[in-house]
Amino acid sequence: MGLASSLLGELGDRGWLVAPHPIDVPLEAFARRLGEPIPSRPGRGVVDELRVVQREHASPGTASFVHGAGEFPWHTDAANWPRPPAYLVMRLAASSTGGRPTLLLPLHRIGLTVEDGSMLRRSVYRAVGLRHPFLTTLLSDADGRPTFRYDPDCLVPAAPAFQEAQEALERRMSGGDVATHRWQPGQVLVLDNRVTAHARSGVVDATDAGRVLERVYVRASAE
Amino acid sequence: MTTFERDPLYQKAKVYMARALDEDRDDPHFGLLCALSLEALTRAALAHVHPALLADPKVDEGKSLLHAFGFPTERPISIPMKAVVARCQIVVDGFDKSDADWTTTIIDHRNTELHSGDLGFANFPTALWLRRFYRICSLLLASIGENLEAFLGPTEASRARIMIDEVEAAIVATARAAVGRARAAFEALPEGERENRARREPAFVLFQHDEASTWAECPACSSQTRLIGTVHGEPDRRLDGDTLIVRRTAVPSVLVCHVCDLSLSGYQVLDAAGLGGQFTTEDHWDAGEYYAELVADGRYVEDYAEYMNE
Repeated sequence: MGLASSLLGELGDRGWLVAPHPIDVPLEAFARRLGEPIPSRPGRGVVDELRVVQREHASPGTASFVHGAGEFPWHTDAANWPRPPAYLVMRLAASSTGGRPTLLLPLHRIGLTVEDGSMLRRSVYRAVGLRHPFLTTLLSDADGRPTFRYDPDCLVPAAPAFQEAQEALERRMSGGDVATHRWQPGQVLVLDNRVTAHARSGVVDATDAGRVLERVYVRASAE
Repeated sequence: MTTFERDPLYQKAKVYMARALDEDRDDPHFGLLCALSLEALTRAALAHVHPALLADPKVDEGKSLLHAFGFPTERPISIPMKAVVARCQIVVDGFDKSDADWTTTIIDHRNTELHSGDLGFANFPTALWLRRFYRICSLLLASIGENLEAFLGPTEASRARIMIDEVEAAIVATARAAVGRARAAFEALPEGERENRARREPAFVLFQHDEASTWAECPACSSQTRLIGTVHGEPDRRLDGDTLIVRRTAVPSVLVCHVCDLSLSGYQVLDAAGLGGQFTTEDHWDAGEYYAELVADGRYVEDYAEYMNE
C-alpha cells in the first residue's frame, strides 16, 4: 500500500515528514510504500546502520572519516551518484542508546531568487569520490521537478567561475529555517533527498555516542 | 549512463566555455577552449536526438552502437568531427552549410594547435570568428533546449547577443537590399542583353600579394563570378621539381559580379549574402618566375630565407 496522498503532499511541500511505524516492523516495509529500496553500496542489504564513529575508527571515504564524531555539515545524501536516492527513510534502531538530533533544511524554501536558480542550474560541478567521476549541477529539473545536490565533500566546481554558485546557495542556506528532529522510538523520518539537506547536530549530551539509526535509500516509484 | 549522452557532453561544453571566458580574448587559449567547447556542444546536439548518432558503426563490428543503446562495452568509439558536423546540418534547425564550414574551420584550428608545433589560434583573431561562433552555439543550444544565458552566464550572453542580433540585423538588411536591387535591375534588362552579359569574362584584376580569388555563385543573378578574399597568414609553399605549389587561405572581402554588376564589400555583408567562410586557392608557379615577382615586390629576401629553411 502506498503512502497516503496527504502524507505525500506534506512530504512534497515541506521536504520531510515524521510518521509512526511500529518498532517491530522492518523499516524496509515502510520504505516500499514510497518506492524501490536500493542498497547504499553494492552487495549490501537495503538497511544501513549509522553509528557515531570517531575519525580514527572510520573507513576512508566516509563522512565519519572526514568529520569524525562531531557535527556533520549540511548535505544531501549520495550527491555524487548519477541518480541519488529520492527519499531517505530513517528511524532510531532498537539498539540505540542515544538520540543526537538531526537538523533539516528544505532547500526549495530558502528564498532562492530566479538568478540564484539560473546560476545553480548553469554552474557545473565534478562529482568525485567514485570510480567514474562525472559532471553535474547543484540544481537540475529531473522529471520536471527541482532536484538539488549539495555536498562540498564530493562535489567540486569544474571551473573557478562556478564556485560562486555554491557560495550563493550557502548564503541562502544560512538564512533558512532549520528544523530540529529529535529521535523517538516508533517514528520514522522521511526526507525528500532531492530538496532537503540534513546535518548531524553537535554533541548534545553524553548518550549521543550511542545513537544508532537505521536508514533506507528509496528510488521514487515514478523513476 | 553512456559515453554518448547529451547531458555530460553539454556539461563538458559549459566547463570548457567557462574556462575560456577566464582568458583574455586575444589569448590563443581562448580560441582553443572555445573550440573544445564547440566540439562537445555539437556532439551534445546529436546525443540529444539519440546517443547512437555519435557511435562509430565501423570499428569493431559496431560495438559502439551497442554501447549507445545501453549495453556495456569497453572503449566505445565516437564518430569523427567531420561526420558530427555533417549530421548537425540535418538535425539542428538553421545549421546550414556555411555554419558547418565555419565549425570545421574552428576545429581545424584546434587540430593545428593540438597535433602540430604550429600555433593554431595565434593568427586567428576573434574579429574573424567569435560572432559566428556564438551564433552557431545559439543554434546548437536551441536544439537541445538550452540558451546562451544558461551556457555563458548573463554577462557574456548579453555581449554575444549584441554581436549576433544587432550586427546581424543591420548587415542582413544591407546585403538583402543590395542583392535585391541588382537582381531587379538585371531582370529588367531585355533578354538579349542578359544573355550578352552572361557571356562576358570577368575583368582581369591585379591582386595585391595578400589577395586571392575563387569562383562563386552570384546571389543576385546566379552567374559564376569571381569572389576576392584577403589572405590571412603565410601561404603554404611546396616545391615539386621546378614547380612551386602555393596554397593560400583567404577570407572573402569583395564580390563584383561581371554579369549583373552586384557589388558587395566587407566580410560580414558577404557572409550575410551567403558568401562567408573561407576559401583556399592552389596555384602552380615556375619557381624562378615566382621569386622574380617577389623581388619586384620587395619581399624576396624574407621569403627566400624561409624557402631555404624548409
